[in-house]
Amino acid sequence: MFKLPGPASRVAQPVKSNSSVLSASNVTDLVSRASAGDNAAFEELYRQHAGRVYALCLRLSGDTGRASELTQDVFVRCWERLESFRGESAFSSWLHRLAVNVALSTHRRDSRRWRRVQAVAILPDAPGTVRSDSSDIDLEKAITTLPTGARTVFVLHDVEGYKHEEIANLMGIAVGTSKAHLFRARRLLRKSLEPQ
Amino acid sequence: MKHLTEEQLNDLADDAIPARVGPEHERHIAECLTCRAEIARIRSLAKRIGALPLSIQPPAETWPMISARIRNSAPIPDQERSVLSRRPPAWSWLAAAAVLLVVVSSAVTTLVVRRPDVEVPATVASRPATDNDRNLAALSSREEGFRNTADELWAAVNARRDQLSPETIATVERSIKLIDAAILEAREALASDPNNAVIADMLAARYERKVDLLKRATELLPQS
Ligand SMILES: [Zn+2]
Repeated sequence: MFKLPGPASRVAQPVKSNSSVLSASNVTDLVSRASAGDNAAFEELYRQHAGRVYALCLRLSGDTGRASELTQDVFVRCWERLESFRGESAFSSWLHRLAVNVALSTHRRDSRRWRRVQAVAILPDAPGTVRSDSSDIDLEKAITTLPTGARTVFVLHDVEGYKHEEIANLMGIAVGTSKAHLFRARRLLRKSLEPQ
Repeated sequence: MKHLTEEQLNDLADDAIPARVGPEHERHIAECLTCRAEIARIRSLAKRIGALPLSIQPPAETWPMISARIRNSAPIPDQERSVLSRRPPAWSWLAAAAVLLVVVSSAVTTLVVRRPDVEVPATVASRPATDNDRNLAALSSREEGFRNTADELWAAVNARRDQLSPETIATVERSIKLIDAAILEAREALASDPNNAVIADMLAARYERKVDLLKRATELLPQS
C-alpha cells in the first residue's frame, strides 16, 4: 500500500539543487543576513530554493513564461516579508506556502482579467529546464491540459502533498469540491495516459 | 451489489481513513475484479506522480529580474502608490518590463543604427501628460496615436523577426506582454476613476514604454 507523503515530509524537503546538503544553520544564517539587506545572501537562498518554487509555479500555471513571472513574484514577496519569518517552521515550508498563495491569488486575478493562453505541451521544450531521467513527460503534458480547478487541486494534493482541508482553505472552496476536482483530474489523466 | 463510488475507490487507493467503506463494501471488493482493477489503476497513476521531480530549474533570466526588482523595491512615488494601493502591485509588472528594456537596450549598444524606414512620430514618444491634456478626450486621442505607432513598429519587427535571435524575440514578446498587462491594468483603474490625472499619466507612460521597447527592437534589426 502506498501513501503519498504529506506536506511535512514532501514540502519541507530542501531543494536538491546541488549535491551539498543544506544545513538548517546555513539557511538560518542566510535568512538573517538577507533580511538585513544582504543581496548575496538572498541570491544564495534563491539558488537553493528556486527549483522547488519554479516547479510548483510551472505545474500550477502550465506555462513556462508565466511560471518564471510567478517565481519572480514569489521571491520579491519573500524579500519583502523576510523580516516576518520567525523561524518557527522550516524556511522551505514557509517559502512554499508563500509560493502557493502568490500563485493562487495571481491566478484568481488573471482569470478575471484576461484569458490565460493554455500552453499545452510546452514543458518538454522549455529552455533552461533541467529534468531528471525519471521525469515523465507524458504525465507533465497531461497535467497542463487539465482544467484549472482540477489541475490546481491535483498539483497541490498529489504532487505537493497537501491535504484536502488545507487546499480547501487555500482556495476558498469546500473539502468536497476539492475532492471532486482531484477525482476528476485523476480520471482525466488516466484517460489521456492509459492505452484505450 | 453496486460497484464502489469514485470517492470510495480513491479513498481506498489513497489509504485514506474516512473511506466510508463498510463490511458490505469489503465483501464487494473481495469479489469484484472491476473495482479492484480500478483501485490498482489509481495507485499506478499515483506511483508515476510520486516519481515526478519536485525541483525544476527556472530560466536563467529569472534571478536578474528578481534582483532588479528588489534593488528598486520602492520605485513608485507615494502619490502613485496611494492610487494603486487597493490594487495588485502593477508596478511590479513595470519593473520587470523595465529590466527587459535594459536587456534589449544593452544589446542595442552593439548595433546603434536607427532604421530610416521606421520613423516614429515625434509627438508619440514625447512626455507625460500635462495639465492641459489630462482629460479623457485628449487621452483617448493620444492613446490612438500610441496604438497606431506601436502597431506599425510591431509590424516592422514581426515582418523580419527571423533576422533577430530567438532570445531577442522572446524578450521583446515577453516585455510586450508585461507592458500590455500594465496598460490594461491602468485602463481599468482609469475606467473606475476617469478624472484621476495620476492614473492617466501612468497609462500614457506605459504606452510610451511600449513604443520605446518596439523602437529599440527595430533598431536591433540588421540594416537591409
Ligand atoms: Zn465493483
